[in-house]
Amino acid sequence: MRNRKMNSIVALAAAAVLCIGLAGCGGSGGAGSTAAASSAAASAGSSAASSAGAGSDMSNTLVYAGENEDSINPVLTNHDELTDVIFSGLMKYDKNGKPVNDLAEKVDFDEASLTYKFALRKGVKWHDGKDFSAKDVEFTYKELTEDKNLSNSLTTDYEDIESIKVVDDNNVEIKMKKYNANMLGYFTIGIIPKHLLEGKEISTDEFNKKPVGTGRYKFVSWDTTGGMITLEKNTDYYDKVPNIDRIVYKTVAVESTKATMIQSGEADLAWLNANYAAKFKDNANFNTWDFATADYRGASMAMESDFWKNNKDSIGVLNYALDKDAIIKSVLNNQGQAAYSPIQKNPLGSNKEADIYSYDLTKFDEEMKKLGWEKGSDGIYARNGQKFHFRIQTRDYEEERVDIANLMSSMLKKAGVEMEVCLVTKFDWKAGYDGFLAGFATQFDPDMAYKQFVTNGSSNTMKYSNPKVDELLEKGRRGKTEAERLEAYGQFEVEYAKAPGVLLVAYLDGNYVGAKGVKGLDTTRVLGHHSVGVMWNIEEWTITR
Amino acid sequence: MVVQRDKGKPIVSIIILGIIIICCIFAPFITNHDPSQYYLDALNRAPDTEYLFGTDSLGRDLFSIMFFGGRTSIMIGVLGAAIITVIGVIYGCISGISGDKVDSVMMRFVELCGSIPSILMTLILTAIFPAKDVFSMSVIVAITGWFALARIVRSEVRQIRNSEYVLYARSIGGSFLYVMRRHLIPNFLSAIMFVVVSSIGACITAESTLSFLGLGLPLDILSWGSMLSLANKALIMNTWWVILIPGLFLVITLICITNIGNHLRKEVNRKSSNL
Repeated sequence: MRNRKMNSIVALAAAAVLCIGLAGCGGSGGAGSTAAASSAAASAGSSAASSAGAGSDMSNTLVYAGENEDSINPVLTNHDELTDVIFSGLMKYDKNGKPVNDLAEKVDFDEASLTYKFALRKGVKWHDGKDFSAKDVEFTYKELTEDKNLSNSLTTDYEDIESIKVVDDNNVEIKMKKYNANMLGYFTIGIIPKHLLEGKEISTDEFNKKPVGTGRYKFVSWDTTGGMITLEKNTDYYDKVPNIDRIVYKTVAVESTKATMIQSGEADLAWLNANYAAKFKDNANFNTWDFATADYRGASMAMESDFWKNNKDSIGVLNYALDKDAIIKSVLNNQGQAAYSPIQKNPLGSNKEADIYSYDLTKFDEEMKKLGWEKGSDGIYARNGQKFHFRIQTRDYEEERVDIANLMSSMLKKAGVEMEVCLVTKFDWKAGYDGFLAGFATQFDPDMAYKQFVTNGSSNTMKYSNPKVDELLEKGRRGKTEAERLEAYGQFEVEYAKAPGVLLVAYLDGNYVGAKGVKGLDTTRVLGHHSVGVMWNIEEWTITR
Repeated sequence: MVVQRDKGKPIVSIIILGIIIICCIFAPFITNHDPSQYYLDALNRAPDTEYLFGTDSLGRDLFSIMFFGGRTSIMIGVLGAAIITVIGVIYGCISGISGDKVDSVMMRFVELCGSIPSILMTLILTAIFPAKDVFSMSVIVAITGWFALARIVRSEVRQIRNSEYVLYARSIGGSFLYVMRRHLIPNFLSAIMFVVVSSIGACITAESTLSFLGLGLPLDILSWGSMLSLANKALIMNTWWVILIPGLFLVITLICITNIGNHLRKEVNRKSSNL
């Protein structure tokens, strides 16, 4: 009998020790086991050293924990770190987000004929050793303007191009149908090689899994099972050759996994959400960088869903019921700002007059009544026999979005509106959700918002349509002076705020965390969606172990 | 004699388990916060007098979630065990009473299924039928957990199937269900009791494992498992109470259940050795 009791006590004690041990892991940094449990992506950890560049040492290799990747091709994916380092464009963005020459040595714009004349750099080579020429430029822009099969969210950016003319190997002319204020910005898109892609179906070609570019780093290998992409510096690069020999890019979707990878030293650099990043601040073993971003979060409503078709007049009013500052304080650990306009972080945006909503539940109730909504016995508003209930989807591994969505839902519920949050592993656009927890950024020119909000724009997936917004965005795009554009975008912000398609919540700061030895990141640049663009000056980075 | 019998009983386990269950049942009276509410002015609060078990990174009160979540977890345990018992007993009885060929086919099937790691089977099942509510979750964990029970039932049935009373009942036209209910089940009930009780624990564990991996119940349904799914975050945020307290609750509940199950097993063994 005593034995049995002893057994129970020992078992209890063992269980307690186990629990404490588990909790203790977080503090001591030995969190490898959690990383392994939460994502298969992390499993590639130990093999990184052996397979990254046969026989070469890891001392000058940067292991980066980044987003998931399907394909690496600038014509297909617009916000992506890897396309920026593997490919290069006619222009590139400088530290202030202004387009400057890159593959183009010189660019002239002839206003009378609306023609851009590019003189290309001489002696540029593709990573496979072939010569880069004006024909590649022609090929790339023909793809963007003429390929009807190209499923690309960017095509609206290039719809003003009328023709592309190759003058000789080093000169190319692009004629426009109309003046476009941000065209030089759009010329930053990476050029793709004609000799590898001509006559092929770009969207599905295997090139997207083994890209060849003209950029600072060469693609080496893609271990899809381990989730690891290896790049090597391009020693023939036409400009400054990077200091870091190799980049191992690990595809990790789960935020907590990224954090544990940084903690255990399995990755050298990653973008973390604000709460995780805060844990690494003031820790001598890590560096943290806080970038400004133009990346906002909000619930983007599917304007053609059954619910919003009848009730799209009642999206803006929901802003009154959201305590955005409380969301920023909790989910974003104060690393963000309340959002009122989709181009608020842009120098040509930020019209304070568009900030027409404040957190005010009394006002919310008044406005709802004006719109004809009445609270039912269950405390939920209804109009014409329809309850104010809509469903938005969010991906379950994006913790920060899930948290934002849950808080929004709880705040709206309190105000009398049901926003049901549906967690999905992959966005399902055909399942009839009324929207999704979205993020977008217009980090360079406000015209980047054109394709998202203009009727039938190439990235207007939620089918937003508003004639006034169309008109003002068009005015901004065609504006020749800064003053003219500033006015157009200011009006756009106000009009959009009155009848929004996105229930805006907050702008995020971009918190990067890295190992102590990683140096050279420059926070001058305003980053994009998912804090993309951090590698804009990667050639200057160094790593010491 | 009576005193000695009481001594062997896992009184402590029964009391602790009873307290936990009663607390869960009367959760609305015990808890001092709304379990689904986000208290945004009390983020990551360590246990104190207002938030007895602390709060998580979104200000949810863990003390309230613990007891409301316990309802779900214990419900899944009991419901899962009930489904396991129904499937296991019926399958075992059919197998035990059938002829050798049918019996061996049925038993090979059980062995085959039993040899597949249950976590793998559960993962496949959740991929096919996502667990949307307590009932579907219970079904999923039960489908992968009845094999052992079926085998025990079958061997018990084979021992008694040729007893005169069983043969008599069948020969005068007693249906299968009648025979099972009147003659088979009463005879092996005590023998399978410990398996049934242990499977409550097994079902709770399975739910927690799945929810921890993010494959279980949707996050808005509170359970001990969905609390544990916050653990990953807690490890990085150094909020020990978020993982330690639900972990301890889960472990203590499971130990109590195992202890009771263990006691029942010993009872059965003692009876058999008395024969």
